[in-house]
Amino acid sequence: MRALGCSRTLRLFSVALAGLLVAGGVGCDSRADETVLVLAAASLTDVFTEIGPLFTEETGIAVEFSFAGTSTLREQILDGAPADVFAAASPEIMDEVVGADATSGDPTVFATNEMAIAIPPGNPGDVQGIEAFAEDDLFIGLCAPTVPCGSFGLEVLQNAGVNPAPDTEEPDVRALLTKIEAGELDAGFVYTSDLAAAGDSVIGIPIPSDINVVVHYEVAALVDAGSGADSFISFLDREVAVSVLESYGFSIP
Amino acid sequence: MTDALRAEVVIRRHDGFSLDVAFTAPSGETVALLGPNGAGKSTLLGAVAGLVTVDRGFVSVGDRVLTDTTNGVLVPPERREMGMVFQESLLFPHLDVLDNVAFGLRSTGRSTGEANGLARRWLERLGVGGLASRRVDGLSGGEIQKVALARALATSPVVLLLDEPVSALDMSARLETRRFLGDHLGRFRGPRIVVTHDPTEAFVLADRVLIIEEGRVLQEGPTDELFTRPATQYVADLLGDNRLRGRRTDPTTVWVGQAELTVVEGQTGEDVLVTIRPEVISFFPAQPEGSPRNRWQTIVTGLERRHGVVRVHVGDPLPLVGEITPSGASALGITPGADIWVAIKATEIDVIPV
Amino acid sequence: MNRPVPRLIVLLGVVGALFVILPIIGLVDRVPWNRLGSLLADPVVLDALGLSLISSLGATAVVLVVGIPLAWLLARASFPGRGLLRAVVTLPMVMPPVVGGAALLFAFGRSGLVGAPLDTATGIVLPYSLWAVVMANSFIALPFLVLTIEAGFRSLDSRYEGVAATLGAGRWTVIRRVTLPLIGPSLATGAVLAWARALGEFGATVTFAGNLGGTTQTMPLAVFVALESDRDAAVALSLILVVISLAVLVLLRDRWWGAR
Repeated sequence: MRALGCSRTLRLFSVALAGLLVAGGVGCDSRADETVLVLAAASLTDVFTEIGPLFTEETGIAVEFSFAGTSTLREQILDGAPADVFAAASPEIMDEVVGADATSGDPTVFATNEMAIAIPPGNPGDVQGIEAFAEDDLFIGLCAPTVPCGSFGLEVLQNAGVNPAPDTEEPDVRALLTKIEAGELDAGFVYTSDLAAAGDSVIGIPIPSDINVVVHYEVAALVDAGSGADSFISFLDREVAVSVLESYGFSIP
Repeated sequence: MTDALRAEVVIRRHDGFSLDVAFTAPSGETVALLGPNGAGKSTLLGAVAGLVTVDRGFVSVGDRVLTDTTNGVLVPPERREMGMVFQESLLFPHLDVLDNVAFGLRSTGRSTGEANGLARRWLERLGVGGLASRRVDGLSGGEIQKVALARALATSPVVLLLDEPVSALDMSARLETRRFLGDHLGRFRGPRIVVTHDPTEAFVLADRVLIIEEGRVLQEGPTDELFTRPATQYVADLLGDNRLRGRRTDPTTVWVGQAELTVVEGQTGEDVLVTIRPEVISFFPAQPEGSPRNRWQTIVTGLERRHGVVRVHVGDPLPLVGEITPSGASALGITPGADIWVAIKATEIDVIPV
Repeated sequence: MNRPVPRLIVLLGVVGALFVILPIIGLVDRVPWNRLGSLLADPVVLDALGLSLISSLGATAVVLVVGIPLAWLLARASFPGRGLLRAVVTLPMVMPPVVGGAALLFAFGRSGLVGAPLDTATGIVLPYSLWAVVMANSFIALPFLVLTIEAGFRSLDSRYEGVAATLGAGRWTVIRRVTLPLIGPSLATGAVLAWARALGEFGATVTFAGNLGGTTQTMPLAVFVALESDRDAAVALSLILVVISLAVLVLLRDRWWGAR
């Protein structure tokens, strides 16, 4: 493997493979090159894609991202995917990864996010608040309970005492948002950051803070991570990164 | 049934080929459409059966008009009552022999039991009743064509169409199947049309012959007349020379008209087709010595030079065409009207039972 | 004459076989056998299994009904744009299934080209229903059936149908008793390919029909969702899918093509 060189493409490819193959760890030495490979929760797609070039500009270290559902990323890491940094949308999942001795440093919270109700422009279902999630006549979407946006959504509903009548449980928040944008759903739970990213194509309805869930985004270096990993993690606290995070609807703890 | 088939067919294809043929096939007669491959014979047959679209045409059986482009008449093939037999079996491979023969009967509304009973009788009538439960892919070429004929006859068609019915068979099966066809065509009372590229087949099976070349009729007439008097050299070449009907009166003797020929041994009493290739005929100024068993004196009726040989036509008792070299011709002093001796070895005469 | 098979052919053939077999062995190797019983008895799994069977068989029926005539037209009719139509019909085979699902949504979704007027006129909304699952499966499976059967029509000697017509069989009788039986092997192959493709369909289904246990969650969707939380369960569900497909393919092969 080393003879072939540890190109970024190769490493990305091996991350993808690790999710599919039963044998993990394609054995690329991450210290041998200057690229930081970051496995990041799908909800970080837009913001990290913007932060990436800023990081490289500042530090001279290249960075590559692989975005997927946090639990999918956990599987890849536990299968030995040769990555440097894990940015998770769920502290519980991060804890599992830590518990499996797959991290090299303690996780830190770098951003928080909240849930919000998303509705298509024009509000075809005349959704006014969280009570709409119980209406059978409306087309209601949630995330599958096995992914963070799904479990958070259920938590919000439970706090509100609403018994939901979903028509679909999407595999990730992006899929859910797409259906709302297309007008195929009347309402669904997404992150406030998603609303910021979606712009005018969806409308957000805030959830009262007493029933809402605060999502903690945690980041940690993985075992065998290159020196660039810590640079990236500390960059997330820098003013330039913080302002990007805020512009995408994240809060900074 | 005394209804003649009348057909006028004009077809123009995009590739420039055009077919423009008219003919009549009287009831109880077999008409051969004879010509080289690609002449348009099968297309013509398809047009008669309603399987091929015509640009202009008229097809009728008796008073019943089947195709009439002028008046917009086009009876679909399933209502034309024409039985068809193709070169390759085209027996349905997913059905057994009995179901193949019963197919038409069932398609026209008979019950399975009735159709199977009739089909079985047809197979027996054609001498292949034992094949009823056989799978099609286990049959020999000859058996296949017999079953195909049974299938065509079982629907009681008013016209029989046979497209190269024996061409795909090997030599021995061809001989037997041709005789079989000859027998059964004779019993069919409507018009029957046989498409073939083989003059022997036309000669043996047909009462009338249409010579077709490049979509046009070159010559048409009763079989014997056509074979003895080809109108053009092309037709003569196509038909070949010296094709004669005869009868075997004892194992090694065949009479053709008033001529007696000694031939290779065969079955006494059968009708035969005798073919003598022109190059096997030898000419002598006087009675030849030696082995040839067939020799007689005759008269030169005509001479022609072609392709570097001289073709010598001789008269009674047996009109034939022979070929010799120009130098041979002048050495023998062959001129029209001259006396001459003809000799043919018995082994050089082809005799085919018909 | 039984000539020995060239070694290179054997070698490459074995490589090809192993390429398929090894991942299956890998899957079987990871199966949590002790939990298999309880997983199989899980109502969520039973629901998904039932939905998968119903929707894949439904899709097979749908593509047979519309795919055979379509294959017929492509093979036998001549009309302008036939080549283009064939290419378009093939598209679901090559486009990412998620894109296919999105395209279905844009056409038949609640605000889609056809879906919006349908909703207005009848109140019927296709997504999030079993119908949508069948539609998504059909969309993805159709080209497999059409291409196979079109090849069948092309290799069929149309003179068989001509003979049948001269024997007095009308058009529908010819189709029923000659054409379809003669392309039987292509029909069977096409139907099995379409069914198998429908059974494993994920992307178009989740995008167009959504994912809800007991309504639209087929086995592949259940596998995907399980993969997020409980990989043992996902592997076990995959095994069930593999076993069912294998059983059907082996049984049908013996029945329709004869064991050779």
